[in-house]
Amino acid sequence: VLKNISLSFITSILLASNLNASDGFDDDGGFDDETIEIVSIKPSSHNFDIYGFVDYSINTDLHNKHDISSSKISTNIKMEYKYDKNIKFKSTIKNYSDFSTNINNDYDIYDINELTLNVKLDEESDFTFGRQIIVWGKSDNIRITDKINSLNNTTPGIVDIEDLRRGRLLSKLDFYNGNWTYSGIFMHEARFSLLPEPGSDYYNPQLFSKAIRKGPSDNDGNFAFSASGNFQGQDIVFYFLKDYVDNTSFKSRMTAVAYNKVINSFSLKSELSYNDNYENNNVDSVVDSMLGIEYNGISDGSLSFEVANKNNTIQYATRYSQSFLNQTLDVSLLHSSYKKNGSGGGFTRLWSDYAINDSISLSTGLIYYHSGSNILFDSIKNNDRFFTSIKYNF
Amino acid sequence: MIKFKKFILALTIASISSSLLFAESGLSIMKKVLDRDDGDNIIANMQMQLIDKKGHKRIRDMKTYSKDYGNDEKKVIFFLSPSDVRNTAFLTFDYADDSKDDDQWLFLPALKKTKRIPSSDKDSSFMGSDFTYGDMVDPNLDDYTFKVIKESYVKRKSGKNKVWVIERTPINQDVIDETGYIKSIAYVRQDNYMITRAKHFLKKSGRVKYMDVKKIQQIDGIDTAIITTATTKKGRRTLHKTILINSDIKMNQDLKDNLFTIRTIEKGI
Repeated sequence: VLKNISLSFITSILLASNLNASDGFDDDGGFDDETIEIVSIKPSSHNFDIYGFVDYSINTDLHNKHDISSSKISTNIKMEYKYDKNIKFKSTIKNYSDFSTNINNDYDIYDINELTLNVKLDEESDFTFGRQIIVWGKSDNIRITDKINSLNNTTPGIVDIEDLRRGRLLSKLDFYNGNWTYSGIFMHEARFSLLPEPGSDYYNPQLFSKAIRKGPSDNDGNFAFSASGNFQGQDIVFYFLKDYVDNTSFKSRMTAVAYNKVINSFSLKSELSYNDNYENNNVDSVVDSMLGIEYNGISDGSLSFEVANKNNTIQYATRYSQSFLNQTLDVSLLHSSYKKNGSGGGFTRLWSDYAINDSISLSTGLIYYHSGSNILFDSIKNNDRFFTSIKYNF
Repeated sequence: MIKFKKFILALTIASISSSLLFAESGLSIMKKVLDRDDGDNIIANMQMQLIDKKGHKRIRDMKTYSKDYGNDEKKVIFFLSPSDVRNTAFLTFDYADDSKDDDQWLFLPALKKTKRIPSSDKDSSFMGSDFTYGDMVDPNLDDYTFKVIKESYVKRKSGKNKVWVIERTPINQDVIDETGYIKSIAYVRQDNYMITRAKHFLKKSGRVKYMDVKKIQQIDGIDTAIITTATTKKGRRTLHKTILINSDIKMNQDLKDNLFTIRTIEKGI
């Protein structure tokens, strides 16, 4: 019945707007007369939705005779089902097919990256179970407290943000009280970061050999907690995490805080964490920290700078993003470097995204890896590449 | 020479008296515009049609909820389509107290993250449209001077409406930089204190933005904008246009306070 009412309302608007087609204007010109067409009005709610994208990407190695180092089709299908106003299911299924390499990759070709059941228990609490992604911290570029989900690091610095984080089987209980949200998280799965595999241009056996990465034998007793407060002009979050260190078989405990404050056009961000590597006597406990500032006073643009001390190494990240043509063209530049004066190495990435229409977009960019004392960047320094992709959203 | 002096004197007197002719000052009218009952506890569907200079069209469908808290307003906007922005959500607390910056958060589903957005970023485009973030909230009247230029009529096929034509001038460069507008001309209807048209002179290279409320409908006795256009022009040339269409507007709904929270923008409705 509601849909019928809605339809008749839309029709009446359509008729009315056609009647207005030849409106005049007052004595100050510039205002247009026009026919306004209502293209579609979505129903106010759906119980089931399916959407996503198909993406074809090519990476060209700027060294090595400009070989095509990757020619990949990715599919990302999202489904949402709302059983009633309190119970929802969501899933994200991914598929990758790379035609150009002989990578012996044992990571999921078909990957159920997210599959969650969300239940609103009452007005003050929610429960979410399933493979999910939980992002911690305030930083946009350097991960200090964002440790719950591992990453897809198969092509460092290039992976699309939607493909970057790996979902993980978790139970999450949220309580809401005034300005505060309290979350308890229990891990049921250890899922570590994906690294370059044999056959990949980025593969280095000293760094990425399976022999040196150990998986956990069990997943007992890993949990996390956060308390997040949102206030006028500022947010603060406290974290505690007991979990495996990525790609190792020992655990760490992290106690952390993240804070951000907005002053005029500036957003100030900070994170501080104490990591107690209590299960590994060979690794000292470490304090990681991050300070960042983002300036949004540029029309349709932003500039951010972050500096961090992570694992006793100084890390810098500078990002500039600018939109053009009513946000159909986005151009971004990211420079990330390690140690003082970038002596540890790093990378510079310049890329653009152009929306041809609501369904099709083109992305293109360059990434330069800077060699340095950091063994990772020294290892991948000859992998500078040009990347481009075309994406169809449905 | 004497004749010329008399002419100047007459012109001066005429210009002074013309500003005294209007029964209400520009500021007083603009206060009434802001104080006008525009409904409370509102749910609406919103469609934005973004049209470039070649006529290519992009469509954004949204659902909006808003609630007044005294003179403050809380609003949440969910993006329904297209699919690449689906589930993006925007939460804003618009404070009447000018000493407090508005709070704004944006949930980005691709990042799985809620970002706090500085509210002073008013001149950036709202989701690629010709409307800016500043257009989505009430202006701070202390940041401007207002002058009634004249009384006129806005004529449409559906009838003509008597309006005050009011010039709005920012008090300093900071306000210009924040909003992106050098000066604005507002056409305020005398029968209901609605801005029916506005002309904004942009800081950006001689551009002018024309905002036009094309269709108004009474909902629960309140005059409500149904179709609004914003057209950015340089000279007579249209650079970009946005058509904003509200539909399924429901007022005086029982909207709970916990709708206007980060929980809601992250979990959806």
